[in-house]
Amino acid sequence: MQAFWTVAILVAYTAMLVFVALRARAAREFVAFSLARRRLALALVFGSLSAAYVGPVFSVSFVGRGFTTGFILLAVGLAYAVQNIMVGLWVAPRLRAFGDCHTLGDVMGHAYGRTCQLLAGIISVGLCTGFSAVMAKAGGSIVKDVFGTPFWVGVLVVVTLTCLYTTFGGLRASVVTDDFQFATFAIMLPAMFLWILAFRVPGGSAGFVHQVLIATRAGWDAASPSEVVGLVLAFLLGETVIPPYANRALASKTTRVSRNSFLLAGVFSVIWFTVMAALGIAARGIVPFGTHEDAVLITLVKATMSPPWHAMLLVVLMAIVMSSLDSLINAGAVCLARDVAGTLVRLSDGRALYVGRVATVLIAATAALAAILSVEKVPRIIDGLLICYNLWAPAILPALVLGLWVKRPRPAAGILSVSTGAGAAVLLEFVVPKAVVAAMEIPSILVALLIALAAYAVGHWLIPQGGPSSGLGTGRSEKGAGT
Amino acid sequence: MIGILIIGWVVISAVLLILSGLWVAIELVAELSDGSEG
Repeated sequence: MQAFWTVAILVAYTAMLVFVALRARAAREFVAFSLARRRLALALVFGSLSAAYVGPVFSVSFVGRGFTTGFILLAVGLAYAVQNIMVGLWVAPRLRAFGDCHTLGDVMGHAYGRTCQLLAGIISVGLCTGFSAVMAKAGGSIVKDVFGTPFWVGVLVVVTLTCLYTTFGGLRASVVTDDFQFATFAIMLPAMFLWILAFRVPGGSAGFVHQVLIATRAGWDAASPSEVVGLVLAFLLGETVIPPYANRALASKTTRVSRNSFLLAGVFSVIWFTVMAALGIAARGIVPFGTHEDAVLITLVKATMSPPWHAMLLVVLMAIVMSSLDSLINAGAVCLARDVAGTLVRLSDGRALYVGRVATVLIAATAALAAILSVEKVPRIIDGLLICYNLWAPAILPALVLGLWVKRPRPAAGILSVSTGAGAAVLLEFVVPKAVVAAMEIPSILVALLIALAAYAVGHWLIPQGGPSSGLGTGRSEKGAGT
Repeated sequence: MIGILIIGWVVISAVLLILSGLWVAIELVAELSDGSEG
């Protein structure tokens, strides 16, 4: 009977997802593929943005952390909310104000020239592929846990389904399917929590409050300050304006929609983390202590709900993984077509669309392969994410943010900051021994960021310029923007 | 008192999540019913 419910609910969900994707229609121009014609309304951008950042770590892993450390992880959640609100106030509207930019690389190109756009494009494609591999790995693990299939089969199923609608529909298909998936998990998981709180928590509300106090006190006692600071920094900076988020800022209907969607997504992250931690706390007294953190949510649902709900949980988890995966694959493909191929050769609109579609398949295939090959080397999902965070922030953020705000950004500053920041991050992540990095007692992301900022300063003030560059922060490129 | 605050906070958070999911679902249906590409 359980198998029947699982298959029936999965088939129904997949059919609805395909229906939504088909309603999005195939993109016939590159601007539709990359930016959904810049006509996305507030609810669609907010839902898609939130669905893109709520991945397996922000759901399954956070429930597990709530189980062991109570509401301590809200510090990380607040850092993430602050990041979104800062981007909403100071970055997203400025990005959207560029009427002719498809990617972050385009914006960097406006500020620092084509070389910097190419560098930003290569880093963006690499990062999106890395993030996609992390999501593919999570999807493969979920399918494996539920059906008992080999891991690689799960990876191929998840990546192929996601790749299909992203290849033909581009950003619009990605956004509308994200919104469908967002509605699924934003309704189902809190509903499960309220039901468990009302009927299943031992001791009812008083028992829940008791567990909150015990777990949070235990989490507070166990947390080391350096670990908390490192995590807060990683979550504050590591996902700031990564390509899928930047694409949503650029594709918003107006600058106001762009700003407000990030502000709402920031507020959403606080209440989302609250409910995920609360689910973990509710599991105390139901799920045996010693259960692996990533298994707490599944164990809780199995222990408290009937089989159809187990299948619904699978649907929710798939929605969480696929909504992040499609955003990353599409963003990487757009960066490859626009910032890498488009910088090296002149592409017509039709050719750019073709390159974008081929790039979608290539990135999806590479991510699937990387997920399968790295399954033993990167056992925890959060470790894969932290590697991507540590590379992205130093490589791109200083040059991007300063390029948006400095009156006359100079090409040498951008190129030096991006190349030095990326180089420092790679060295600290993969070359310098972990013991040496730990001995510095400063999070490596912060070290690489400072190096990138220093390189920017050198390029800006010490290297002679041939002439003023086209400024971004001056508002000269703001024609054609929304309001 | 702290118990009421904690329960109120988590319940209101869960309700807000459900409402945000419903809002996006309604807007999505309107968007897809529109029939245009965007």
